[in-house]
Amino acid sequence: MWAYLPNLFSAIGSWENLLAIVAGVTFGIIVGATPGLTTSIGMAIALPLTFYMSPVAAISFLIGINKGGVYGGSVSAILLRTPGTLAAVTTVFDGYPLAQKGKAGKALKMAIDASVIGDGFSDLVLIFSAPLFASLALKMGPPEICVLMLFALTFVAGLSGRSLYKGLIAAALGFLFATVGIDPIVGTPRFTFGIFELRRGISLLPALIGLFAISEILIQGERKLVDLGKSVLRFSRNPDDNRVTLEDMKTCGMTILRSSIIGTFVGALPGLGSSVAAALSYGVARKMSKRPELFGKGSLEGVAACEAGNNATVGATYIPLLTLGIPGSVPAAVLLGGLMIQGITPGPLIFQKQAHLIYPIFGLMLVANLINLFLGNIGARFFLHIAKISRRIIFPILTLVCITGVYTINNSLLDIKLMIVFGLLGYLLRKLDFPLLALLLGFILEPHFEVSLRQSLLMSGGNPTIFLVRPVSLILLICTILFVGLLGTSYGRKLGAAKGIKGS
Amino acid sequence: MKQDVKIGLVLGAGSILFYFYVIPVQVKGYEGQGIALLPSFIPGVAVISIIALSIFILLESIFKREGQAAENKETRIIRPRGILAFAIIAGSVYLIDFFGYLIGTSITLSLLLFYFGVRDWKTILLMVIGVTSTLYFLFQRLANVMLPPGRIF
Repeated sequence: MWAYLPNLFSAIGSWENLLAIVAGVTFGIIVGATPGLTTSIGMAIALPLTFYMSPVAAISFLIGINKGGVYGGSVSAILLRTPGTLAAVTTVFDGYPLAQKGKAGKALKMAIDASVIGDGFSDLVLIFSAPLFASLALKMGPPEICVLMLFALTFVAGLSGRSLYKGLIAAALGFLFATVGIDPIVGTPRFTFGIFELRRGISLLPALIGLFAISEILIQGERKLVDLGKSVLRFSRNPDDNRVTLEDMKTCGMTILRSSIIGTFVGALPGLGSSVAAALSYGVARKMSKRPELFGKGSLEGVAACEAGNNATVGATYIPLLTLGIPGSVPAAVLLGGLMIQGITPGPLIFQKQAHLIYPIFGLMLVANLINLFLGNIGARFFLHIAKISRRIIFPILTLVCITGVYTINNSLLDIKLMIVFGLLGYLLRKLDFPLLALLLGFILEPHFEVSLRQSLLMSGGNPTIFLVRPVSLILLICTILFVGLLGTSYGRKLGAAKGIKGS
Repeated sequence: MKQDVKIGLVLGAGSILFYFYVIPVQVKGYEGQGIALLPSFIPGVAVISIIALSIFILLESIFKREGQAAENKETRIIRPRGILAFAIIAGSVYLIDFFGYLIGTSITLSLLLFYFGVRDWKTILLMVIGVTSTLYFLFQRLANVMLPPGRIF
């Protein structure tokens, strides 16, 4: 590896490569911040441009889009309550409340700082331990993934707000919505109601844009016309509300580190993706936080956890791609196309045959993080102006952006209809005090849970002891049982304390 | 009636109907061959969970003490302005489907701007032309997405 240091430095010193990264990160942030244009769409649009670039510049350009895009999703999540990408779904929960409190600048800057740290961490893991990590990830079979998803589901309890029952109902509803479409094992349709397009299932983007953005537009629309003349968010003149202080970094440091590890781990597992990493990071951060009551109401730790977690998947998702040739996510699949165009063949031999190209690309990935940090900080000042526009203007435009963005996912009007239905559902659930976050967590985790559960049972001929005989799944299962026990005890204590207070 | 009692009753009754009438019709095949090949397993578990949790909500709400019940006061869920906003957004699908993307979204945006309190027609016109053409250029021209052409053109 060290033999390629001269190649690395010459790649970093090349203007073509640096310009490619700056262009990639800038384009990625814009694409990520636009609801409906996902990071993978951005990379796919830009793919033809790489025909005319050198291999290192081309791959750095695509990786720049991926890094910028994952961060960019948080911009609209924080300012408009509409996540630009799936990865930023959980950023909404604390990013938007922070912005409502006049701390949009702080939230945006924490988002970029956490993104860059998480991304840098996963890049370093990719650089130094790619082959080892890939073999570990391959050992995670369906039983381990199933128990991991079960563990993630226990976070629903923490996200349930005032009523555990309502949280669990919301999660069960999320599970139910996720089962719409073709059954993943036997291939029969479920809940399609004769609508052919429903066979592909409900996409995550219409559901989440409906639940969060459309429900917000409906609630804002109920306001009096006088109130609608004001801007969407308040702005604080206190400089500390518009920057990340050393104190903030101390508070969020461990959360960022923990989420970076979770994101890297999840990113290396093919098929799980950045939204699962962000949801897991958020749940763990809430559990470990000294102030869990602030989560969902504007916790800076919440923003840091989601952003570090989702960005940490970026580097890690290239581990199975580069070492085994398995694209673990859609952006990784697009990057595989980019690598093929440039004549680079991913696989175990890449570090021997094309190391002179791979190590400079690794170096440029680290440079891309610094450029992302720089552009994100400059961009934060610009993005804040968006939120200063009057509600009268911003909500109609936002509605149109949502409609157009959702249509582009599958070129289908059905997705717009689903978004509107989920909008109404989100509106009603918010009024009835059901936590939308629990519903979304159930919706995101169900496909992974169901497939891995049923695959595990197929492997064992229906014998559930398969989860007990494999060491990793057994350890995860014990953790889950202990965690559920702790939750039950603390909920019982909470109920007892509430009764005691009322009784006295 | 307390709000949570209504929630428990509606959700519980709805889920029972769903379990007995919707799942058997909408989820087909492979019964009796184990959970792994049973497409209705996860939907069934989800619906049974909702039924059980609705009963818990119902019981919790009924046996709540007076002080706690006060927190659970009746709130007016739907307001007429909310319904109107929903109608405009829902109507947009049919407008886009019939008139095509450019005209459908222009009408929707004009209605929404008016609904949200913009009364100056010049602002409405400027916003409609600016926003729809920008989105059209971004998606149709740049991202090569085929936006709905409509039925009448």
